[in-house]
Amino acid sequence: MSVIIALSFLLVVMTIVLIYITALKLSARGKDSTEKRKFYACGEDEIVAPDTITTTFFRYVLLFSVLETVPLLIAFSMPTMVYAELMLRVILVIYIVLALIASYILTR
Amino acid sequence: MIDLLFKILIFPGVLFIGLLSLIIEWLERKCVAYMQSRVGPTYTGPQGILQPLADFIKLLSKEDIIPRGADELIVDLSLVLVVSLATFNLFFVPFTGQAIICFEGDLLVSILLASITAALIFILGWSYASPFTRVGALRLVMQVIGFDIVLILTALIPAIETGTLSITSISKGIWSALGSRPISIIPHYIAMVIFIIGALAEIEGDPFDIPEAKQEVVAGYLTEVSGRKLALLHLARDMMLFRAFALASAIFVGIPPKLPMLLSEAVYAIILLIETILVAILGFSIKASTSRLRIQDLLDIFWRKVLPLSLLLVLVVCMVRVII
Repeated sequence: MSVIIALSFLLVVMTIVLIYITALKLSARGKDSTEKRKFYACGEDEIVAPDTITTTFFRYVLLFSVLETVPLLIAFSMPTMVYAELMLRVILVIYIVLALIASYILTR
Repeated sequence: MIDLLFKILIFPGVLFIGLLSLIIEWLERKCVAYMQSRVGPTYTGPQGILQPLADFIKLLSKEDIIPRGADELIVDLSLVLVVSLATFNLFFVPFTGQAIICFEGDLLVSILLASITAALIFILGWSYASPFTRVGALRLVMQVIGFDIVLILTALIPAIETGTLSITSISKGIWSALGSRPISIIPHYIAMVIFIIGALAEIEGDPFDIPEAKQEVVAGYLTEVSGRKLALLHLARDMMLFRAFALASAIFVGIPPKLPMLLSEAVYAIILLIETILVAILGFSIKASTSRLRIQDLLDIFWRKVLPLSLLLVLVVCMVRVII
């Protein structure tokens, strides 16, 4: 199965790259100019892009990180689990408990 | 080997997925137009069915303009990966009764690959260094934080009912699982509706089009994207749309248990596609009849209301599974 996964992903990436490169060869080419390569600014002279992230919803982000990491680890370690069925049940219970705690924190 | 290559590249692989994704976009445009008393695409092909393909080819042939200040390498890399992952993610859906990639746990992998795709779109938007793309990209991340856990929890419900985390096995086993425990049908279909709403958030359809709200952030992370990049991003979005509804129909509706012995791969595909179209029409109806939420409303609704409801459904299904 791991060979099929790797081959599938490789072929998909190669197909997309091929379309991407072919499109570059076939697409229209205009003259380069400073104006054309300016950012869209909604009619203003210049709008500065934000370069820092303000975490307004920190509680959500924190709980999301916890709850998202667990299934990520389970999913990518799944093929290596020897006692997959038993492990799955244990992990599912742990996951539901974590989600319950998150739900309690946010709704209290 | 040739059989495998045919599966990956033609049916049910890249070509099949690409064409079906464009048809799903046409269906979306027609359904939403019908609900808004418009006609939708009519000119290209019968009933305008070739319009998304014409748009794709037109965009591919247009000039690709990259603004000064954008990180071109990161933009190119993230764009190729976004489209590749959107395509690859459809390999987990059992169109022919057996998915191209099928193993215990592929349900979680598929959902998390969709999250990784969203993270790559964030990187893409951020790399353009434009105010609109950056704000749009940040909004996208907040949206993912809102719906993703709910998607995982609701997807777990058919997994618990059938006792497996493989999409193919769930698809084949869900009818008999519900038949042996009919009381699970109610939480099952509530979970299905929640999953479809979560899927709409994943593809940024109304009322979750916050990252590309035209009146607020122009086109969000797509503002500076043009030519072939825009064509491929639109295609990726169509694939994500197709995958969301196909996955919902595979795990929540499934395939009738008595039929598989008799059916060829093409008939399997037709059954799943009909189910996908019906689920998609339900999703498009929600999309056409709602207006955009604010980001804090989205987070509040998903985390404070939908998450506890999803947990309750999971617990009910677990209890039914243990008792009966």
